[in-house]
Amino acid sequence: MAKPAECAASGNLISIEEDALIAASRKGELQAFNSLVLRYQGIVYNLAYRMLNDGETAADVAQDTFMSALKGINGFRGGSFKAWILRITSNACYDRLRQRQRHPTSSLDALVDDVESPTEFADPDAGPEEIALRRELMAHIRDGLLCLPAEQRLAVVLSDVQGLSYEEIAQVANCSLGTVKSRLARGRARMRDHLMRRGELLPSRYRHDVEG
Amino acid sequence: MLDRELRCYGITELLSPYLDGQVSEDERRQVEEHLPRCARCGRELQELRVTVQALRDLPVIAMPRSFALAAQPRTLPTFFPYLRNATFALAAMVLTMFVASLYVQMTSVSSMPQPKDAVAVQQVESFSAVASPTSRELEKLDAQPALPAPALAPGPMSAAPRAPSGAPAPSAAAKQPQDEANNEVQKAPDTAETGTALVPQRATTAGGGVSEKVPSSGDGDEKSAPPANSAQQAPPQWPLLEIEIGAFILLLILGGATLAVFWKERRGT
Repeated sequence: MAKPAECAASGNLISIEEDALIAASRKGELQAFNSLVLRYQGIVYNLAYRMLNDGETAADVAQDTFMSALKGINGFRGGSFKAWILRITSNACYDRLRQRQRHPTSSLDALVDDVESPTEFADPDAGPEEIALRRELMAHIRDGLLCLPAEQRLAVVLSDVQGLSYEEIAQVANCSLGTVKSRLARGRARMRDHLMRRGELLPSRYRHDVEG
Repeated sequence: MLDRELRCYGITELLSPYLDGQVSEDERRQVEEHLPRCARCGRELQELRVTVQALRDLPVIAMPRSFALAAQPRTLPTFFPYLRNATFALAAMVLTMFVASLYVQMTSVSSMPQPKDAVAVQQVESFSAVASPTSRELEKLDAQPALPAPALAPGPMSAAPRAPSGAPAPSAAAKQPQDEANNEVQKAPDTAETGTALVPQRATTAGGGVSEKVPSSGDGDEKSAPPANSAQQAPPQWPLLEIEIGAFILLLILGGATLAVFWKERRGT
């Protein structure tokens, strides 16, 4: 998890630039805020997508997130902007999930509709069979994520899909490091069980790891 | 056996943070001591590692669109629509007023040959005073005094009370100038029909008229007559023009403000 020194240095530069952008956004400079949007929209959209498993709703959530972030930028009290914006995102996702529980029909369509395009993870020398296999694995992982309680899903997605540190996850989820650890451990354990139920989907290099 | 299960239970809890290096030195030692001795926990760790790897390999989902906030309409001040609409409304108003005043002037010119001649003449005069007087009108105005002046000679303004009694005489006298004027029209057909036709007619009514205007227009001093009437006649036109100018200036200010607000926001985004 430790970053190389040069990476940390460029991280500092980025954060200095980011502070300037945030300050400008506070003064109402939309261009500055949009620079922040461009920087974080990918991670925001992907978190929403993984939490909700529906591109359309995820896009709505992402748009809502940035709109409420702009409104509430004065409420941002320093720290990690990334964590702050992801916290807004996760709260918006929780809202949507609650809505879904109240009207369960709409989520089923999303499950069927939303198959990730294979081009997104195609590698050039993969045969059609391998692509099909990978696609099935993706769908299987996705189903597994959906089976997790929302809090565990958030922890797993932030940590393993998006590569956030425990500290950042704690900020996003507004909980302690210990809570992050246990949510992540339980979520991963569930995911492992789910994945191993269809171990044949795993690429040979993974299976080799498991057997070895 | 039970002891071992319990030990495993403690260890499996640590496997996930161990994978991330998020365990204390003590916990790390516990795990590393346990793993070589317990195949089950070793396998569990391995599966966990594979799971995490599979999650990391999940593709990044391409965004359907950019979420950059499409600024302008959102950040324009809330009063902007009102300002803009007010500008449009005022522009429409100014345009209507302009067209209307043009129309009024056109129709008043074309209606001049009607019996309301005195009024019409004054309108023409005030019109020509407002707009730059054309040479044609100037000609006409110059010609005017020459024709009726001798005939309508008698009293000055103070003669007003005498008007009814004095009327027949000027009217008789006026016929002469009218003829002369008619001749004049024929002599100078190139002058504007309305204008020239009007002049003698005015002379007719002025001479033969029964109204209070008779004495004043019957007065030999032609120059005093038109100003007196134009003072009565001008007011309906002058305020209108002032309103027009005022509205136009207001339009310029409003339009400028609208553009300024709009442009500032455009630049700002």
